[in-house]
Amino acid sequence: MSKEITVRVFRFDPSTDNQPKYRTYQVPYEQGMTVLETLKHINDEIEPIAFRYECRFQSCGSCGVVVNGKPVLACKQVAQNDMTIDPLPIFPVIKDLVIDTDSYYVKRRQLRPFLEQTKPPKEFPEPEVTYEVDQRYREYVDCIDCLLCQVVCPVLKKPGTRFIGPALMTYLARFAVDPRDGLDRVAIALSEGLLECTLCGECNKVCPKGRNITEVDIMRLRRLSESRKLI
Amino acid sequence: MVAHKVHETDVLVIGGGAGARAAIAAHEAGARATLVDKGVFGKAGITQLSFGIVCAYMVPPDSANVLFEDMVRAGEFLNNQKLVEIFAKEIADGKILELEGRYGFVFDRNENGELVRKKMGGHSHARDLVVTWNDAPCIWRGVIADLTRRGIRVFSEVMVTDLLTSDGVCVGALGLDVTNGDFIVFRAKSTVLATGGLGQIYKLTDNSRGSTGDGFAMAYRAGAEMRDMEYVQTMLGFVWPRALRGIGIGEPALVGGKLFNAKGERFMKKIDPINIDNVPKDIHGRAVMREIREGRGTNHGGVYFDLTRMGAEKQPHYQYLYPLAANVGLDLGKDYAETVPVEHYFMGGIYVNENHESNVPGLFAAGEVASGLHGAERLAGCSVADITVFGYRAGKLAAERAMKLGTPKIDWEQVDSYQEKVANVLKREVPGKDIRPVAIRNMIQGLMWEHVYMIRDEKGLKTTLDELRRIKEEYMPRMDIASHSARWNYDWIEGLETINMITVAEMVTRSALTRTETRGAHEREDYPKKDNENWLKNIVVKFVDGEMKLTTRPVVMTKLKSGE
Repeated sequence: MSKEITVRVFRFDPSTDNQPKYRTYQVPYEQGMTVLETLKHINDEIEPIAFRYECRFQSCGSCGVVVNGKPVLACKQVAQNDMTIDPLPIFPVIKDLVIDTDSYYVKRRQLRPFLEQTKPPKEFPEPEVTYEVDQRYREYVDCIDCLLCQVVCPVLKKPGTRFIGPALMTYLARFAVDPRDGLDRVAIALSEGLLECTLCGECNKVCPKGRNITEVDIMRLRRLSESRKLI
Repeated sequence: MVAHKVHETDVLVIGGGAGARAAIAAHEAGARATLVDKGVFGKAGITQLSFGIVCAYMVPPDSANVLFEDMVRAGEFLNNQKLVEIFAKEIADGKILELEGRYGFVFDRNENGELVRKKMGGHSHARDLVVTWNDAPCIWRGVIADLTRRGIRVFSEVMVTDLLTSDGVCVGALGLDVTNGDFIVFRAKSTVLATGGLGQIYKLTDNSRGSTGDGFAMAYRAGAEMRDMEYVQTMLGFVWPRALRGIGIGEPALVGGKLFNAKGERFMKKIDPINIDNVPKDIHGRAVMREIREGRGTNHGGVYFDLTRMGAEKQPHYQYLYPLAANVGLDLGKDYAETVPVEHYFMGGIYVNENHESNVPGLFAAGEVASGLHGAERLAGCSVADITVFGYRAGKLAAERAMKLGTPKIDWEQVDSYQEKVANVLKREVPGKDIRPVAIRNMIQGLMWEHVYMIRDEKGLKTTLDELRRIKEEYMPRMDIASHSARWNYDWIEGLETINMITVAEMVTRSALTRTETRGAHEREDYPKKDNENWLKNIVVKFVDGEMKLTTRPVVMTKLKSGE
């Protein structure tokens, strides 16, 4: 006999609905089923709902949603009975679970999220890129811009904050430790509110890749600021 | 007439993989470049999911000539050798390696700081570089960041539904904004198609959701010649649990795993008693399919893949797979995975000349949507290398063409009729509309999996053609979009994709029926031998006078003739 689970999903089309509402669905459950599989079942077999996904294996960071109050990747979170699925907070809703993340990307663009090689390399492979550089680089490649850390960060919600959030600090830290980068990422981080982070660690708790954002990104940038006597 | 916005540009690029490189090249050449992506740019598409092996670094005695020969032999002499020559030379010249600094990623180094090179199957030398096996989008994140640096205009979540032509010349495309259902007319001097593959026409694929063959279908409708449409590449992937279905595992040869059928027999011993599982993927892939067909598969429709003793710590790729499986209750250290070959890559596609231009003037193609480079089988690491090198070349050449031209003339009646076609798919309250796109897709995927996958014969292929015709005539007119709103309505998008899927499914099936021999990734059970006398040629599919016409063309050969 197959088991069923009860799933409540946030539904809202701002172009037609007066109010957001929740709809409840009964979904057949099988072991190891994820939230994404649950949403696909509802969409394909019951009624269409709007949600984003691409890769299905925690690699693209498209399918962030809130399950029972906690931000998760739908493709990673295992489904459970009595779950309520909401869109990620902070961002405007386009429809149902699909959000408009433009504000994040606009800010990211301003930070020049690319390697600024001010001196063009003379030979390939570049001798500057050592084993250590490779190892340090790997501490950053896991970030997939899923924005879960951004939406839980309590500092980002404080009125008047300059802090740009953990995910964007990750970008600055990643280039700050790359010997090929020619911009002063540490100074940028300071002007973008690096010191306002309280190290509460909420970001680390939700990171689907298990990154230690406060240590690897925030503290590394702060130590670099200290060693250069910027603070 | 339906309302639309108009966006005017020099080079229109459709797709975010090879397309991203094309847009960069066009911008670098001084042209105005615009990129359109069906999904979220930088997240959607198969490039962002690849395992990040890239054929990029050659150390003597390796050379362009050796790579050329490896590729032509793997491609069983169906490759366009002019394209292979250009490709091999660019790789040998280090055109990919120099991107490391420009795009800010790091290829793996060993403790002495030397590049880690892998020798992949079919390559004569170790020339594949990796970026930490677990997260390959790294290279492309750098490429995408370069578009940001350049300020290139990107339309994210806009589906291109049709190419626009005027007097037989491609003059841009019609886009549908997924977010709000608005139409956008892209008016361009040159257009680069880089829409990737068609994995979604099969029941199981490791491709992302958007690989529905849109590019093949729209280019075909615009009069472009398609070649090698019978060539589908597969890779072992998970068949169970559900959350892992379709996700690639890799080759036993690469990772030292063992294959078993449901009776616990190592069936590969019957096929190759010496190498057993350590054989090219075509061979073990077909053996797996036969075990399943002959009733020795698992309850979930696969065979067992024993990865328990291969030491995850030695395989960075598996450091990634283990937690993925553990997350849904499968311990790869103790339990067998259940596997089946899943659709991985498509070798066929739009015919392009050595300038990456199709037979439709103004229409360029690069990446998986183009054909010619890989022939009948693709070597590992040559796909990311392909989009990096040829994406760039296509963009550059498209820009050079565009700079010589004035603003193209648009056939507004054509725009109207295309818009109407797209809008009609959404139209509601039409009597007799009662089947959702997902149901029609399931039919196509099932048919293609059953008869047009790894093992083919005339009977199955003809059955499929009959069934596809029936779906087209009986079910397509009944296709019903279950949501009214034009806003972020993926049912509508899937409806449009389904129209493309049925077209490409027919192209693949008819090409497979035409090639009465076994060569590379195409196996005909009723014609098990390679037939160089009759079939050393490319099969061409073209839309002529409202019909799908198949012909053949001699293969473009330069340095290497078959049998040498």
